[in-house]
Amino acid sequence: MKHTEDAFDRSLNAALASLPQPRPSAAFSRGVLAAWGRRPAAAPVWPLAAALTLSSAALAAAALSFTPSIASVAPAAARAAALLQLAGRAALHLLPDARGGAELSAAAVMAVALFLTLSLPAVPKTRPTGAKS
Amino acid sequence: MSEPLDKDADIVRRCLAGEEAGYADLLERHQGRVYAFLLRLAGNAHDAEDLAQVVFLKAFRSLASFDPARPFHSWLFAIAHHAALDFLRARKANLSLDHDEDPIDPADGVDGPERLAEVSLDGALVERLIAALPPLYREALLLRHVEGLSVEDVAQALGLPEGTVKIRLFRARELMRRKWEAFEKDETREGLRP
Repeated sequence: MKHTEDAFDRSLNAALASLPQPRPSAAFSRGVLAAWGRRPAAAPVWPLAAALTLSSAALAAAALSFTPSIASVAPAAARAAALLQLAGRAALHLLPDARGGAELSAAAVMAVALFLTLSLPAVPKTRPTGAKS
Repeated sequence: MSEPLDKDADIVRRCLAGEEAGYADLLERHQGRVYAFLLRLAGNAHDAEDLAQVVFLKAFRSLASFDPARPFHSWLFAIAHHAALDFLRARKANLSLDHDEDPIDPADGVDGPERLAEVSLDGALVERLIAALPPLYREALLLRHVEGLSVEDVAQALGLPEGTVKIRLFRARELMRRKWEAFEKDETREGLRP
């Protein structure tokens, strides 16, 4: 790749260095800034944190009061999957440019917590087989 | 650290602190270079503006990942490089885009490596020679010789080893020389016709 600079190289260097710099149209920067201004505002973290805390507390309270039956696990899992899917879609709708997984993860955890909170009280208490009323 | 480096890093800090005017400052300082680079890669103003918009929006969203120890424009050119490559791949502008083979065709040039004493290349001819280069060579040449980046910065922008950048620069110049020699030969032939 040994190369000796000659008249072509010198002329090419000079021509390249003096090439004019084309400018974008006057509307370009306005368009970029307008598009940037329309970005979804960063979601504040505290509502998510508060929701997580509340739903976790509710979940804990529910878990202390009710015991789910084995038979209720499968429908509960199906409902959890459906709810997670809905939560995911809602999160993607609210955060179209998906600035990271944090919001999505938080939304998913919140959905699970809410689901369990709402569903557990609906599960009837079961009695041990053979127990007398 | 040089003044422009400091200046860009300072503007980036302002943007990250929530000052909206900082984005306009970054745009004003760098839109010309980015647009010119993309125009010479995309080949038309409409696509170049669309691509430049994509580049700036992506850069604004990723400002937190910018390393202030590096020149802002080479970081920006790295984003522009990826955007342009995606665009050209979608357009399939050149089959050699994904391959770094030597596209120099000996038939393009004259028989020997003649070294002329006087050569005059005007801007319009150089633009044509640049446009005839495969995109991978074109972008290396533009960043090094038009935008004035160091070989190290070009390598960082393109995500390549410095040696590969030097090879691309060498081949780009050789291709331009051969095209120019072929062009000169045709011109002479045209001039000798009765």
